[in-house]
Amino acid sequence: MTKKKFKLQRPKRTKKTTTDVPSTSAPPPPWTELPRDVTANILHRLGPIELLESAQEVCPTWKDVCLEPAMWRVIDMKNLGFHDMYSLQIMCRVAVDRSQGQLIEINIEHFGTDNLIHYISERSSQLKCLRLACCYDISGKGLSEAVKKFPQLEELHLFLMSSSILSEHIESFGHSCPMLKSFTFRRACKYPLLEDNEAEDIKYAAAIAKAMPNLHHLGLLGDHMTNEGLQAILDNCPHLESLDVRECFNIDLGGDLGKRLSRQIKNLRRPSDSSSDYEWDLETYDCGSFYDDYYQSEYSDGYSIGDFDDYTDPFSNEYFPDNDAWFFDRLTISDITDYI
Amino acid sequence: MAEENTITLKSSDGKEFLISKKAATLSETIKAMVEEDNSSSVFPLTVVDSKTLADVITFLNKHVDCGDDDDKKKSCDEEFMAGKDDMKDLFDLVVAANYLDVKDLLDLICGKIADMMQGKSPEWVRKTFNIQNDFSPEEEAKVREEYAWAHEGVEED
Repeated sequence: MTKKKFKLQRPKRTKKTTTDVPSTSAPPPPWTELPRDVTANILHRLGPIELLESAQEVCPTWKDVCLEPAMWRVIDMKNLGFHDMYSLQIMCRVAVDRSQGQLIEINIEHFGTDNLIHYISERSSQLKCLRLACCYDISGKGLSEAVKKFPQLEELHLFLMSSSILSEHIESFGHSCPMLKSFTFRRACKYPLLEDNEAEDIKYAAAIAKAMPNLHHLGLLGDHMTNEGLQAILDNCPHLESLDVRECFNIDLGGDLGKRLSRQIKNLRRPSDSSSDYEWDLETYDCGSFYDDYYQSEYSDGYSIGDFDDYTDPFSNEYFPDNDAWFFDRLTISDITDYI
Repeated sequence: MAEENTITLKSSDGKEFLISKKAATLSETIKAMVEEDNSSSVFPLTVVDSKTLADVITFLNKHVDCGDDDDKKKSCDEEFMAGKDDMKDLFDLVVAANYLDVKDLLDLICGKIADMMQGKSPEWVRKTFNIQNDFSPEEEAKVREEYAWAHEGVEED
């Protein structure tokens, strides 16, 4: 069977005569005539920020491609420091809107909030993979409410998140997502919000054992869980074949537990294994000062859940550092509220 | 010649290239042609010129040699892409990769083109890709206004 293929109509070549213009002035390639799926293949590699900022403004053909929901099924947004948090949040909302409910996978780094995750949860019931990193403004309560709307979630990865994510929230993630196969959790740091965080850490393992029976992969990094906690996880997660417990120094893999792990787990990262290939520096963030610095920095937007629920003055200037004044010059409140 | 394990591909400008069947059938389009017409040994590719076809064949041969070794493929691909900066060559290659249905090559070229655009303004992209700005002034103003918030951190040139 021959596949149906797009054939590009090229201008017919005329026979060269001496009066022809030299070949160096041959017509430039007609990029806008590329098959639509090739254009989409190129553009989707640019990522959501680039698509919204640049690609869609190039020409109507590209704008059209940028409006296709298929372009937005995977949204990977990192805060690389070029944008303020508000622009990123709005762009993320636009990206989610464009997916028209087809969002499968999303990664948010350094700018997530409870409101944003709530917005996503209202529009993305097919989400399979959620990855959040360094989103200190996402609370345990906000996240567990949102995760309830992701019944098809198979992967949940949380790196350096707020200490308000407690064992009860972990348990609720498990109950909300029965298909959860892969869970990674690396809590932020021992900042003062939670004094007895060692006791809470021990409860994390129990919550996982209780509510996430279908796990194939678990990463619980820099956690205080004990042998009992890990034992409970092994007892209750029979499909577990990949386990990352780096920097969990309260567990002792010397005795029977070690033997059991060798039998049950195909891919094991031990407490003392090197963390050098870990994307997030376990040491650097393990201190209160990072949290303080973060909140004194311009990255802090300092609002919490509920701020946007009241539209009387949701974007009061007090939330914005001075250098964000441009934002108001160009955008009316109605533009913003369309996406809030 | 015309061993059982080789076929001849004929470019749009009439040049013939001998290639192993194994390499040629990495192209889904050629694979379908060969399966459909087992008796032929010459397959005309009317939309691929000889310069582009030579490049595609280099790619296919390299990939057959790499087998399933992804690291080897990666370094082959880097070698293959080195110096491929001419916009017309990239255009011809991406069209050929799509027509011949060679996924690895299509992804490689699309990736290269996307890399060129990364962090660039719409004006830069239009200039480099020679794309006419077909937005009416009203449409353009509307797009600009609609996404005015999204213009930080874009290089002008």
